[in-house]
Amino acid sequence: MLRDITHKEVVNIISLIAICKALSHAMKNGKEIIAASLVSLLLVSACSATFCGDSKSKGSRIRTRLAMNSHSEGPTIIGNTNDNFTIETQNINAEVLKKVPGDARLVESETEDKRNPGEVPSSVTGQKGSGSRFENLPTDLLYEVARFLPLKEKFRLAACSKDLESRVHVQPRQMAKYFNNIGYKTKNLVIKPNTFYIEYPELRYDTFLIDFSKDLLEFELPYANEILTIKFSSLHDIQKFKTRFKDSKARVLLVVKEDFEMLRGFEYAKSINEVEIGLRDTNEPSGRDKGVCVFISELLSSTSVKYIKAEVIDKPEILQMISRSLPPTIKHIEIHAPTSALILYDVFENLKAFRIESLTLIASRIIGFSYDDFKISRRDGCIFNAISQMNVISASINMKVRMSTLITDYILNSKLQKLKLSNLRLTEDEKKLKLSNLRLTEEEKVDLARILTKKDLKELELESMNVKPEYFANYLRFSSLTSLSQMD
Amino acid sequence: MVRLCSSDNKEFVVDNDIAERSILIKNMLGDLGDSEATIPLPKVSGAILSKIIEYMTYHRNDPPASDDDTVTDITAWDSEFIKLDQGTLFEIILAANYMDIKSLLDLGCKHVADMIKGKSVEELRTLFSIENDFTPEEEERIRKENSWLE
Repeated sequence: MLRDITHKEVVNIISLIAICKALSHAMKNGKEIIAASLVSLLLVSACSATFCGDSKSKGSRIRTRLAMNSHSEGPTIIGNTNDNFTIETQNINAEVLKKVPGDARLVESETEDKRNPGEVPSSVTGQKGSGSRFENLPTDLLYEVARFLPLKEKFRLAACSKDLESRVHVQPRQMAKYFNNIGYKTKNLVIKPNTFYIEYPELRYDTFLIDFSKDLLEFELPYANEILTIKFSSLHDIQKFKTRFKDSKARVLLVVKEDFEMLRGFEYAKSINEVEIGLRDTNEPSGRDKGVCVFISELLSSTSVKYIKAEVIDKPEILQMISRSLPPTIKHIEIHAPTSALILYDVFENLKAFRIESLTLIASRIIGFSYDDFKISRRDGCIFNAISQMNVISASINMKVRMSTLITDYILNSKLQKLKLSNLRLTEDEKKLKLSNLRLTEEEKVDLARILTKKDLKELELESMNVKPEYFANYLRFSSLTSLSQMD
Repeated sequence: MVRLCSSDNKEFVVDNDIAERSILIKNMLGDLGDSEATIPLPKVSGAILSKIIEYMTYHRNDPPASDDDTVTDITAWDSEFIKLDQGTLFEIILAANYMDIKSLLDLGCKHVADMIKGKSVEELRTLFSIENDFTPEEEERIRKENSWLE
């Protein structure tokens, strides 16, 4: 690898050339004594140059090793890591201690800046120039930012300049072209809707959703396949896909339906990101249902999924089995299941063991309760939203259901647009809720007063329940980050 | 205690557990095996390093972040911390990447993404002082390409 020639080396080379020329001239003119002197001078210079070169190259190797070390074990290195990278200890002649934020002490070094005049400072980050503009972020970091953007926003950002287009736009555009090339029409690609997921849905679900097809195995997936969710309907297909694309970053969605092939072999189950179970009562012999229960139990416990959607209509035993077989990684659950209150109670009891971040229950009917009890208006279904941290909720199921239903009703009526129940945790030790017990900031109190009137609180039966103040405060802080659209 | 030396020769003395929030520093300490050694951070200025130490100090007791974790919940403290002018924000992001502090990198990138969301192309150009170097024909092409998403 070529390295920069230092000023000293240039001087040495020029000296050698000059001596060679003088030697040649002396030899031509028969001046042997002068020639002999020049030869010895040449030897000395050559030795000096060689020594200088050796020591430089040693230093260079040290620097390279260190740079490589930091490169391989650390993050993406910005710019040329070799530039001025040194481990020479700074000579601290005097130390002036200053308190800086946190527990750190700033030691002001009085050492002179040893950089050569005109040398560019090594710190990229200390400059307002190159590093401090959005467009100058390295491509890796642009991707990091883009990771938090929905596709539409990515496209909009890419449309700002040629540079950004070439760097941000390339992923979705290549993907679209790729699928066009292999026969998928771009317009038929479905961007996965974010209706189910509450927290920053664009982070994880803003991907192209396509069905797995054997055709996919014949092509080379673009490198940018992390913006892709592939829907599989058999474990065997996942195995084929993962064998073909070992390093694929595409999200894997497994859909289990009635005709699902219940073949064993869960070695690729760990690569599943999401499971959708859709089973309806088809009046099949109960033997099949038992088999399905066992299969789902084995499957789920073999995965590390965070997300599961279960649409199990009139299959209470499967719903129960799902709730008993969830992997410890589970965070988000959506259940579509008209069922009985008893089954629901059992499911909720099972979920207590997990740290659930969002739970959505969509049920057209819950046998065992009347609508009058819920005080809800006539609707086809009711949505119970986001009961978080169920292990700390010990209120009765009756109360939880009523609470959820009532508050959902309010949400749907836009009275409580910002209310998010995921941070509400209720205890069985019912005490009167006193706003003064909530350690809220003035701003939060204003928010609370705006959202919940005293009548609301009474109607929601919050007055007779203890809401831990810190949770309410948390909810209020987070409420500014959520909106009704994210919850629907 | 660990000494961290910024690009402008400012030295900071911090507790090991704070410094080791940075995977880069953690690895370098492991490599050097000398707790008294000064860790050079030639790509981070003193002003930025000071902010980063403030962040690492606040988060000193957080569990280590894994590669799979992505910041979703931003605490009120983080939210206040990251309210910076654009220049400093991008420098923090660059430094967090260099020092391998994933949670801070995510926080910074998420904040930039939030700045981008909901803005038109023109608004984004103004926000980030981006020069429009497309010809009208190229802009039309992009508009057509993007129309399927709208």
